Amino acid sequence: MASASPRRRALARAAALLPVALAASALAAPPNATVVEYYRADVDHYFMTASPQEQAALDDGVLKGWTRTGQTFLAWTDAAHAPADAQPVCRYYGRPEAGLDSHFYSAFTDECDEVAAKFPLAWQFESAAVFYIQVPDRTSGACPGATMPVYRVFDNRRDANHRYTTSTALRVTMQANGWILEGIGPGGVVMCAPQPATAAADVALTDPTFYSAGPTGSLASAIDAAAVTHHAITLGGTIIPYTATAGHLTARGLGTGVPEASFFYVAYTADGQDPGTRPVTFFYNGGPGSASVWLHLGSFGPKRIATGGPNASLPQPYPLVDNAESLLDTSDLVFVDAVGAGLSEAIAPFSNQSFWSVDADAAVFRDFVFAYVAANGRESSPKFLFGESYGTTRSAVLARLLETAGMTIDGVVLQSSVLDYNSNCGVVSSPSISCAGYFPTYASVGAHYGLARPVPSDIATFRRSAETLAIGTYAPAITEFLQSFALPAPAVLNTLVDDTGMTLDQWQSHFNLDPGTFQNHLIPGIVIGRYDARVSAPFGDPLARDDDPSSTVITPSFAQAIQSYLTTTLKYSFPTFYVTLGNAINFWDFSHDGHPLPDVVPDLAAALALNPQMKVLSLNGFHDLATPYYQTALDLTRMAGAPIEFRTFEGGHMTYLDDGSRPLEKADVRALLRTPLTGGAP
Amino acid sequence: MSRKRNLLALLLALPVAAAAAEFTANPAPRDPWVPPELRKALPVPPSRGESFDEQVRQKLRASFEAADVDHAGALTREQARRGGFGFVANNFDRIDVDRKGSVTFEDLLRYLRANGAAL
Repeated sequence: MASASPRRRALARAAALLPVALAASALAAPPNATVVEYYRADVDHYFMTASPQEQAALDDGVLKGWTRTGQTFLAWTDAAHAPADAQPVCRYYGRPEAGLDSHFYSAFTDECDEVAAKFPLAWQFESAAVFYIQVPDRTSGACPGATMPVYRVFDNRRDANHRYTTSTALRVTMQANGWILEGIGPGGVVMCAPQPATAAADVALTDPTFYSAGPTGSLASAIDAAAVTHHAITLGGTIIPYTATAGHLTARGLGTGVPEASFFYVAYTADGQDPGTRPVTFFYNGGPGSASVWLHLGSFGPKRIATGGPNASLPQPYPLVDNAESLLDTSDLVFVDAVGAGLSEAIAPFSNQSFWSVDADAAVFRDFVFAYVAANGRESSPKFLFGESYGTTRSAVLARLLETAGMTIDGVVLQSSVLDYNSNCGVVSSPSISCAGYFPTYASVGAHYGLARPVPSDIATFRRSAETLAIGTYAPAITEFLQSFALPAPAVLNTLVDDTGMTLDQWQSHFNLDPGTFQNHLIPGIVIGRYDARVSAPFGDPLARDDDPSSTVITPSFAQAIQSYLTTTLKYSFPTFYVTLGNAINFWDFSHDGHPLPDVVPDLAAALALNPQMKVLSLNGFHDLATPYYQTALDLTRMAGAPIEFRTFEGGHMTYLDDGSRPLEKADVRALLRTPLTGGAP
Repeated sequence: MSRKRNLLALLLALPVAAAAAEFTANPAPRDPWVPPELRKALPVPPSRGESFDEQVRQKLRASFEAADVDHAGALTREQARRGGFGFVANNFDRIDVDRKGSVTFEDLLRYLRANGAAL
């Protein structure tokens, strides 16, 4: 009968056949697989898998009804990495036709063979090795040193479900619920899982160097040293132990090996992962001249500053909390500061200003990426770039330079893009540049403040119609206006008024409406945010000081938190201040391709020409008056046919600060990071 | 680093450090932003279609020519490697379909197009 547990008979029969467990293994690689347990309530079944693909399918609901139980244990993916005495774990699937629809696992080959022999119809063979793990002594059930027992219980029902757990408490609970203890010895042991690495000792670093962010900043020499600390974070019910490395790494000229700059970076690497398949993502903000603090402590690192945006009235400083949306469950994360920002500085004979141009900055970032990859053995890891704002300008050039130099980049995430400075009427403030690309943002902001008429019943439909109006009506009217100063028919003007809440007077006096005018005139007596237009402050209010209350309200918390976080949590001490925003922007050489301002869309296209498999994901906020989402969409249409994923979220420039948008954004980035690789570097 | 260098760096760093000490005075970022004298866009609309593709090809050509130090119009694998065009060196045998031992820019374009590049 299929209702009996296949293993009980097999184990009893075959116990004497198996050689005594081999002596404790020689040195093996650390475990590189996490066996994750799932539960499906409607059938009261447990299931476990070490396959990241299966985990993704279960987590993302491709296979419906399964949730993580929070129970995991470690193992190895293959014999090459596992200790010599580890055994393959076979998997059988109990056919639904036999009333089973359940999986069975065993690390004993004889038991696997028994299942096949005894139940050829009911239990279908799926794999001889879903993972590798050590096994207990066949008589006593004792596990070898440095491992912990995995117990097996059986539901004693027709559907023959088994549960495997390292928790004695769970084992006892299950037994109390009528499940039958199986396995060897009094504990019922069937496998021996490696102990999670006991936290290696932290290595603190007191860096005596005084770093300068000024244009003449130039270190006489630099030493690659870092503080190394060990932490853990729970993501999706799984505990992820990780190592944080905070320190400096020297970028050297491609081909020349000449030291160029000492880059400050903080790397988060999940412990026990296979670098061959584990992605690594490089994050940087823009400015130019900004440190990576915004992405580091705001987006997808293991900690984030809970700003509660767009609510600007929460007590400050905002707390630093564990980040449930960290991407550390999917990728290693490297946050790196540009030269002359954070704690990064040029090395003589170079000075910081040597790298303060569009092209030299991207080139020295390329050299940092090469240095990081070489220093950490990440040559075969999938690699991703994640830049924000000017960081997207950098990413386009950097992706081209890396591909040209022979390093394959698997994907680029563009957070709030400025790919063509010449197309953004809020940056160039040239009267000849059309602001039509801003219009859908104006409409989104007007709707946010309840100023759009009629009040939209469906915001998505409203935005789509604003986009259509922008390209179909407003853009041609601006062209006409710029040539002849002729305003369109009153009906058109009234549509603009209705969609945005800007008055007819304003539209008549500022027909090619720039974002600065919009910020200061949408609501009388109020300035609305540039980075997040949902944040506002009355004129004269301290938050209105820098003309962007959304930025002013969050800046002090980030500046304070990074300073203490580096010193206290990451144990990296330094005598200077971490420069969240340097002065580079006032010295920057913006020229590119022989033009005064950069247009890097062709650079991104060149990177894609070298690597058509490279994925591009564009993330945008509906309420961002700095890099308007629709203008970015228009810029990207120049790459006709390129497979670019374009996403929009509630929120401003830093959409990840929005508690509703951050999980959605994470899901999109995670999907990109998990895209099956199509060959990579030859 | 020498003590002298440390002192010099300290002096250079002081204004920044002093500014950063007063956290509320930490400047708020304005990205993207350019100095007033640069706020003039190109007098021409952004490139599209064939002129855009030509811009892309020019970027690749510039990399090619930077590595082509002897101006032979062709790169050997070693020249590509030394000249920073690792992509060509890594894919050399696939680009050099005629086994000439060197590849022209046209060979590279042919390979990229066959590989799916929209050029």
